[in-house]
Amino acid sequence: MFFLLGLWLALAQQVQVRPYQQPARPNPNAPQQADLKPATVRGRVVAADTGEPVRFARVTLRLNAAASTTFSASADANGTYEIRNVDPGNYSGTASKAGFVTRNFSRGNNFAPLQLAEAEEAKDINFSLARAAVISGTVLDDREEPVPHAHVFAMARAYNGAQMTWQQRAQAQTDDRGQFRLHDIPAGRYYLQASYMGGAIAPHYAPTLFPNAKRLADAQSIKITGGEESAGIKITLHETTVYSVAGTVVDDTTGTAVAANINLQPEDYSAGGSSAFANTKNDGTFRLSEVAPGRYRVFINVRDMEPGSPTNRNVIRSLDVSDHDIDNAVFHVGPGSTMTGRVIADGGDLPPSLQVQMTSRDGNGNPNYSRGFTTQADGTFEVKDLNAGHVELNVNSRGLIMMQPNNPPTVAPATMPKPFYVRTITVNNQDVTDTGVIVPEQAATLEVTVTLDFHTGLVTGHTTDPSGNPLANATVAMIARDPKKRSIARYTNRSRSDAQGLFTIAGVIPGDYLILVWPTDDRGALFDPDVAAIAEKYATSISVSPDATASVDLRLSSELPDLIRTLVPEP
Amino acid sequence: MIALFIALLLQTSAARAKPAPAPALVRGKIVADDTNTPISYAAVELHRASDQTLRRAYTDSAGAFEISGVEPGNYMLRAGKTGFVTAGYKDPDDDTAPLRLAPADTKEVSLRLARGAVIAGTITDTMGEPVNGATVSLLRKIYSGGHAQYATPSSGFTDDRGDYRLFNLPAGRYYVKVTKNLTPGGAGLPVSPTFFPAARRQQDAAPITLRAGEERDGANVTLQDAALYDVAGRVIDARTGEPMVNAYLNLMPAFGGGMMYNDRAQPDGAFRLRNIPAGSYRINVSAGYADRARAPVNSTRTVEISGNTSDLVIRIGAGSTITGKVQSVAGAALPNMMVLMTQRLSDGSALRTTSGAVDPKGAFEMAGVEPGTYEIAVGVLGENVGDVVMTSAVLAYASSPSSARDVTDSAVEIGDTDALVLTVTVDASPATVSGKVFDGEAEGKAKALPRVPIALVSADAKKRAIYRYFHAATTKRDGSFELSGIAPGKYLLIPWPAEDSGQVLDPDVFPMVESLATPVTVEHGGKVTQDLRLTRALRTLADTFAQ
Repeated sequence: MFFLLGLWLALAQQVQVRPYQQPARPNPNAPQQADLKPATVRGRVVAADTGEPVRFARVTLRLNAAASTTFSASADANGTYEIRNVDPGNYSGTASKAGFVTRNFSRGNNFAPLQLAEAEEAKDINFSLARAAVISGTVLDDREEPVPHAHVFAMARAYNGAQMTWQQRAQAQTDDRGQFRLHDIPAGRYYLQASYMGGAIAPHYAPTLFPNAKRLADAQSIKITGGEESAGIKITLHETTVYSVAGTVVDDTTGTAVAANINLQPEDYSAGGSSAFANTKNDGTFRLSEVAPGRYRVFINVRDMEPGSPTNRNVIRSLDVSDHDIDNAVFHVGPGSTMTGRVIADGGDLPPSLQVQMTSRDGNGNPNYSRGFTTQADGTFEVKDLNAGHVELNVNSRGLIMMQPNNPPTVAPATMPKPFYVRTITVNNQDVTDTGVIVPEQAATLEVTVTLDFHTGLVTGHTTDPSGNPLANATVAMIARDPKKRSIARYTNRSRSDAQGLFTIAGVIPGDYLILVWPTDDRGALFDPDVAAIAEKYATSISVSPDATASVDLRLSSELPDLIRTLVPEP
Repeated sequence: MIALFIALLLQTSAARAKPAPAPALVRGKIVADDTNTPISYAAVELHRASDQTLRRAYTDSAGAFEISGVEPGNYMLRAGKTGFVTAGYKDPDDDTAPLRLAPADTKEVSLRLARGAVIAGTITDTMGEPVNGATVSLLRKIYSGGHAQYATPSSGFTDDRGDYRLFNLPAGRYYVKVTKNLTPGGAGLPVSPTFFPAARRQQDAAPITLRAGEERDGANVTLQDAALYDVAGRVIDARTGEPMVNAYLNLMPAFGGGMMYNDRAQPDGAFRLRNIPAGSYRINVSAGYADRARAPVNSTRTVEISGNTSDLVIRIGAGSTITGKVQSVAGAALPNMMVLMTQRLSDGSALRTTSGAVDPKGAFEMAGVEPGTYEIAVGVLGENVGDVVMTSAVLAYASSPSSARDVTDSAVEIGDTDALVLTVTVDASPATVSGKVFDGEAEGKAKALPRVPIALVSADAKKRAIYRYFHAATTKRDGSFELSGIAPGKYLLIPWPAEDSGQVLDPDVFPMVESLATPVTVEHGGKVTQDLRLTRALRTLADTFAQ
């Protein structure tokens, strides 16, 4: 209001730029005109599949040191472009055109930046663009009426190591006719989800996955290739009744209600259900309204903890909402569980201390929390205040250096400790090696035994290109022959061949594997079961025995990269 | 005996539990505004903000709805359906009042919904190629307190075919504005914001008038390429002429939106920005002093880029000092005030405001004021900043009092290191203008008209555009209005039955309205009473310009 109180002047009079007075004699304070000898950049933009020019594509060079400095030009009808008057420097180059996937400049498989020297005439800075695909259709309600402002997401499976997560690759909103258009999508396999986020007056709709599923496990994928439009996709949003949830948070240590903040997250994130949160009143009671049916993880954070109380401040519980209001939910908070245990070594010396990483994930594989601990010299350990949930244990197999499951292990030098693998993990005498530890909601003591086995195997060999010539710096991937073991990170190994094409994989768990030259750089595509099914056909079978070396030579297949792209969109 | 026991029981339980208030009921009909036909399956929502209670019902095939068992209280009621513009219940006396439901109330509420209109089209570039991911905004001219602004009621993006579609629009007059920023990982030529059909400037834009429910296709726009310029210069210490060190410049469009550009200056203070699209910008400079005598500073300037510039010198100085006093008309000191200096951009929005408190003797001092063109105003210290006190005169001089200029209604230009003295005189008893608006057509005893917007504008063309001389109100239920805080002078009073009476100042409107206005003269401290007649001529004129 106050700032409208203004004198409406012809404020076309801006601050006057006072011209710098150029003095007659050379002035040491004169601005340094950099002796810029500008560079020129030339090249072509073509379609990756046909090699045809991409007419009028736009090309932009971005100075890596200051991304707001850009130099752009438009290609001509032949796809040829020229950018003049470019300052010397280090640049990223990008080319784009409607209907194609925007790409960066890269030489071969390498996205190295473009270094421009003064007065350099860079040429053949070329771009190869993949055609983008389109998915279009309509979202209707139960009465076959269009639903405007519905959100439609195209999701692809992404693998972070062995963990699958859902990656949103495109999104669109429906218009007044209920129509949506998801565009600029790289070729691949997608799952569609429609949801309504509120806004205009409308009922509550439960998110729906194409064709008509509630969970991603039941959804049907849509495979599209570059340049294709998958049209006429119809998704129906169903009205859902929402319910209220009221109750109390009780501290088991004191037996009384306690004030806390509550956050409900849908167990199956993938379906995009809504979360809800509420803070209890100081008497520990809460009320959540408009909760859609489903299973939820409840994250409880206790306010005002008594110092020294054994109750965990942050606790995870679960809640099911079905078809009625809940008036008397009780969430118990209390001390966490305790894990005591020891690590035993078979076939080698127990390292003086081991790093153990505990990771807890939700139903979709997304980590909730991660905690690490170190074992004593005799291999024993004790961990307190464990929260409820499913916990994976990962024992570091290289001493104190934390190793990610997918980092290509280097050739073990003589000084490094002998590699080992985790043979079994038991909890209260039950084998949980490949299933993980279930920490119950009710505080308990878990007795854990981890057995390490030092009788690992070694795999070595050479990588060659499709014609049989040695191939340097190639990625080698090895997966379990048993499909049931493929989602377990320990049974997947990667390595890189050296300048002569020689590769080595150490610390391999004895067993049967499939091994092949992997054509892409991505870390996770191989964990996708459908991708692994394709890879199987191009892989070599190999058996690895304890304390033994297996040798195999591998030839890169020329067909594999395109096959992978039919399932996994490029990043 | 048992009867006594039961009676006792009932009495006790009655004493313990207070009975809940009797629930209310809301029913009504939802019809289409243009055809008067009922709208079936429209959603009707009753919402209470205090505890987020929400009740929803749907109309039947006769357009009727009923929501029963409603806890008494204050609610907002809305109705909507795909294809119609959502409408809310409006109290006949007060637009902002909620629907009040007393215990056991039955309220009949009917709403008329306007059909939503659609504007759709394709955006191409100068090569004729579709533009993907452009932002298409609709602008509507609105008047807020006499000040024309452009509101953006709707915006969307183009798809890979360059197509956009904006829907559910109320009828009205719209301008289509298209922009496209270079995305951080994208490629493209910088384009100039372009108005339908292919204009670079708002004033050359062609409006699109939509009727209720109309679908207008083919609202295509050709995005114009931006002219790109290089801007080079230096950042120097205004005191010494030496370069500032570690200068970092950030350039952003003055009117919001668009790309930011930045550069770190060389040790000699020189900077160079490449390929900046033509336009108005704010430059923010942060830099340190070479001798580290003072802490690093931050300074904001405005600059117009309309060509290659090689000599943009930004002088960072200690700033100017503004001193002076605030006094009443009689010459008495006025404590508890605040002097406010506002620098504006050409669209009227404020770039920044600097303020200084007035001491008990009426004196004030503001140091470190950055260069720029400022308006002076006086506010009351500690109270709602919106309550600005009327200034009757502002005099300013730099060197000697005898050279003082009257800057009451103009802005003051402040340089790098100026010293300016202001004398601000405050009008402690501003005048009032009140009256009633009557129906101009009625024979015999005329009816007083409620809810009619009226405007009081200066009769002096030079003062008309200055906000100080513009006042507006809406007549109450009895048809009366009152305006206060009026500066002395000659004015014109106009009843204007439109969305906002500020529209009378629109350059297209005023010449036609001037002859229909009622002149009033306001003396210092006076109380003027003036009744107005809303004639057919005025009504017709307001309809013609209806937005």
